Amino acid sequence: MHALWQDVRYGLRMLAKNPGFTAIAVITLAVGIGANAAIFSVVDAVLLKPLPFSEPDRLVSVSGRDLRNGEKGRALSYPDFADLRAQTRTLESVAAFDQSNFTVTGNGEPQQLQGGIVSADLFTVLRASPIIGRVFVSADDQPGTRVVLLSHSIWKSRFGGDPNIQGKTIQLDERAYTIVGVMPPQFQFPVNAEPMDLWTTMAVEMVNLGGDKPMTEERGAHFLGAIGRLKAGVTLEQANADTGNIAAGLEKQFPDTDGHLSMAVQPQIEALVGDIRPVLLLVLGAVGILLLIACANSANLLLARAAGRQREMAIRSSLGAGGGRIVRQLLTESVLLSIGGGTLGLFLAVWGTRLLASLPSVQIPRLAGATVNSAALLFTLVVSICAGILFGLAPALHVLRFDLFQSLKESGRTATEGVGRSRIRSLLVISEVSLAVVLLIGASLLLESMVRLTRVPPGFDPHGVLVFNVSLPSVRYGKPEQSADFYAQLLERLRAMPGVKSASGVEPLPLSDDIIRTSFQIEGHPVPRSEEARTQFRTIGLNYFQTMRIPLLSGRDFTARDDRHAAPVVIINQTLARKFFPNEDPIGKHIKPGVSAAGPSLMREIVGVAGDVKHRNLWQQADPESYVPYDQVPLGTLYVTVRTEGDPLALLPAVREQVKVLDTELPVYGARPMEKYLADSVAQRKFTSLLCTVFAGAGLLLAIIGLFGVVSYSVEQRTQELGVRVAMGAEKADILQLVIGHGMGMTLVGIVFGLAGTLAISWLLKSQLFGISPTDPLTFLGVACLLSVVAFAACYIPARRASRVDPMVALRYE
Amino acid sequence: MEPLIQLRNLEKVVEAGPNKFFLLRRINLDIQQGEFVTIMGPSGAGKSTLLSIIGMLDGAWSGDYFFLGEAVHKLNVKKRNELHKANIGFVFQSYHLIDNLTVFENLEVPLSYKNVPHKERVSLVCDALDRFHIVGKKDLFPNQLSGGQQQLVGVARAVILSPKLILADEPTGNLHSAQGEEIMELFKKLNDAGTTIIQVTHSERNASYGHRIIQLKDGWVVSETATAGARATVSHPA
Repeated sequence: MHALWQDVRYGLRMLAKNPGFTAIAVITLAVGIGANAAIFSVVDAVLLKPLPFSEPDRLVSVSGRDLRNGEKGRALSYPDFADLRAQTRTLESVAAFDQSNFTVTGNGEPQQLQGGIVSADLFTVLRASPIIGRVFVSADDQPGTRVVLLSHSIWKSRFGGDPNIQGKTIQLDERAYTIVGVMPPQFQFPVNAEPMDLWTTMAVEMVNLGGDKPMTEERGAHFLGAIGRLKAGVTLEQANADTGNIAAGLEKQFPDTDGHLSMAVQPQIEALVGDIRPVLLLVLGAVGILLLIACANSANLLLARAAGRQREMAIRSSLGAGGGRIVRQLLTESVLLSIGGGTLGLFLAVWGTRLLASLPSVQIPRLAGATVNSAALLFTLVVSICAGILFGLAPALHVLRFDLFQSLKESGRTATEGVGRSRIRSLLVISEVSLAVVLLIGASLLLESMVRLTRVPPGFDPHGVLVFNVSLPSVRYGKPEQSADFYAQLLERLRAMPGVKSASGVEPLPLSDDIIRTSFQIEGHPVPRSEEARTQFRTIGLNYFQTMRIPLLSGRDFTARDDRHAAPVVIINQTLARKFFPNEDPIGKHIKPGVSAAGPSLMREIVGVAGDVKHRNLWQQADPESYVPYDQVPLGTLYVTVRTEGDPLALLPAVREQVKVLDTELPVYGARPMEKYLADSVAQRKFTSLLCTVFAGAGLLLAIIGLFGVVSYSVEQRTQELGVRVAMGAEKADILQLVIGHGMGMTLVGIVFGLAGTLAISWLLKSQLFGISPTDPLTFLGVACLLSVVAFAACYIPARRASRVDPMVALRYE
Repeated sequence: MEPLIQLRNLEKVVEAGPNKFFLLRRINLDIQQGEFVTIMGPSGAGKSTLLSIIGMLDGAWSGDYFFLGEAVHKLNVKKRNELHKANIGFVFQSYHLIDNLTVFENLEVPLSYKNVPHKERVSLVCDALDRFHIVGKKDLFPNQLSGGQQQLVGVARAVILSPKLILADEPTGNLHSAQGEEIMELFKKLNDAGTTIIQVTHSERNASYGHRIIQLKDGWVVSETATAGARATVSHPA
């Protein structure tokens, strides 16, 4: 122990004596370790941290699966959920949930709140308890019941943390709800969504608003998420077999609505972060490569220094130090360096993690909770020590292999670096260049994908369009014609506003993650309901295509005459036309999308064909799509879209005024420029590509510093040789060629290995790329050229110095 | 016959702050073709400096220097390098073989800088290996050779392009006496074959192999004496 302490003291003294060397090594390692610790913190928060519920391993997500195309993660209908709950033999409990907005009035200004609509047993599934009152009981699920559980934050902000809140009422959408309890501050469900302000029960969905059946009685209305808790000892496979059997039974029993549908379970955490896992692992891989480059760089620095300490090691050896003792001394120094790098890296990690966690709109679940916690600290410590041993081992072992005693006798006649050490240094630089190539190609492919993605026309013009929502309470706007009339008046007023070019509305908004899909029949082509084709469905206000600048390819737009009393009409998109009316004009034909606001769905005449719009995201093909006039199908609330002449947000105060004129109780919420939706739709990809680019840039810098260091050091070591060459007739150009050739030789070998390595692992990137092959030859060539040019510059500086070597000075070294 | 080297009022000065130090002062020297000249003197006398100027490795001096009648002092660096490459070979005290090259490759180095075609290069190297009886060592690296063997390679490298002049700076300084004698005999043979040799040495014995000894002290030529082995045909400068 004493000897180890002595090694540490001596190591610290040696590092203090070489502040330049120490600073470069520590900073290099800090970049590598800091990046790793930051990304580990993100990975820990997003992927590794268990869900904040009791026995989270037993929580599973239950979702639908389309047996025709294998599509997973589909929502369930309430009747299907109820059958699942009744029939399951593997789930201890199962609950359904949905989300909605509620306008709270009374007790202060009207406020838009995010609410969870859940089946009463959700809290049993999650084993969550309130801090005040009670959770829901099965009686709360009965139609006509209106109860609510408050989140901790809304309890504090809206009700001042009233300890006697239980039993009081709250006005939501102008209906009275009884507050049954308050959840603890850390409780959040659904975990990936914006924090909920309150939760109410499925009873609110069971109300028959428009004379039609409530949503909860429609087996074909798939709108619910479901979460279950596995019985103790039940495996995922058993649960899947169980839900599969239940679904098969439902398919037989209800072939029209449940045909080709199955149900599957997956761990809840997987459902939450499954999509983001490959992205984060990709970034983790990138920082891992960066750390390897940093280690290779530090090893090179240590090797260079080891050459200068050969005599010291020889003296230690002659005084009786064994090989192990010398290696330990050197490893102690390298571990001290890496711990220094780790400490500085930790500061970088804290800063980096805060930066990443604060990035808005990245849409990575649980990212906001990322902090450098004890797990990250332990990770940093382990990485630091491993890195220290990794980059310290080669130089330490090399010292051992050297004839130490011989170096005491040497007069410096062979002052040039030994072949062995030179080879190790070259190998390290080659590895650095190879790794940098892998990083650079990865980052370039991601960046190129990003650029190509942003060039994809979304099918509409988002510039200058303001989008907002107005929440319509069902008490006054529950009937379809009530909401239709309100929007008609609002849009009329908006169109009359100065600075507004046109105004309309749509539900659901493109790129908003909301989606309505329905099956449809084509007149004259009857098929069983389960075999019907599917279309995305949108209900729109007047002038929607004009406001969004979606081209109308044939036929006509909706007019004011296409009201609720007129013949039902529909406009389809190009994909639907091409797919279902090939080689014929669809105008005048009829289709029946299975959606209506009240009463049965109707056969509608196709009056127009609109251009395709990227509704889901920019990288997926447009789906078949049907637009109907809002006046004919007034489904809930519209996203109001306003094309403005200037900055869309500047118009917001005036817009609020217009809403207030119509109804003082209606809050305007979710106001954003349409461009923001477009930007958010690629935010996650942008995040990945920018992060990888930053790490690749750092990797390139470290690799080039490594190359520069090795070539400079080699020039210093070869001064005498260069002098001899000049004496033998070498000219300036010969020396330049020699030195640059040495550096470029290493670079080219590194590039070749890097290209080969990237080819071998490029498939890992495939899922993250758009419009570019993971083996895109231009990118490979571009990176090879970039690295060659940068490497040439890095070699040229020491080469120029070498070409100025005065042969006599060089020869007088003896 | 035209002298190989003519130096007139050659001076070398280095400046250190406000002070000037003369490393060589008013050197006037003629060296004939085929001569074997020894430069001697105490440390700091300017022997190696004079050798480097004659070898055209050092261009910062004043005075006139004629090499085979060509005014070196008027040549630019490129021309001077060409003259050097075409006519001069070096032998160093510490051999200065390149560690990472084999014997064969070391011999190739001066040829590569003269753009000798590959075939001819191989032929010249093979000749040299044969001539110096080191064929068996051609694939060895310098650190696998004894000091004498390394210097043998050093000499072979210096003469591979058949230079008119060989400059040797303490060529036996790092060798034991038997090896030293072997090298000096080699120089004598080369000189007998017509190569002019200028050596710097502290050894009287080595000096006796030459025709003339030039003594330097503090940068001045203080004496010139013919050795016992001097040939009558060699004319001594006044």
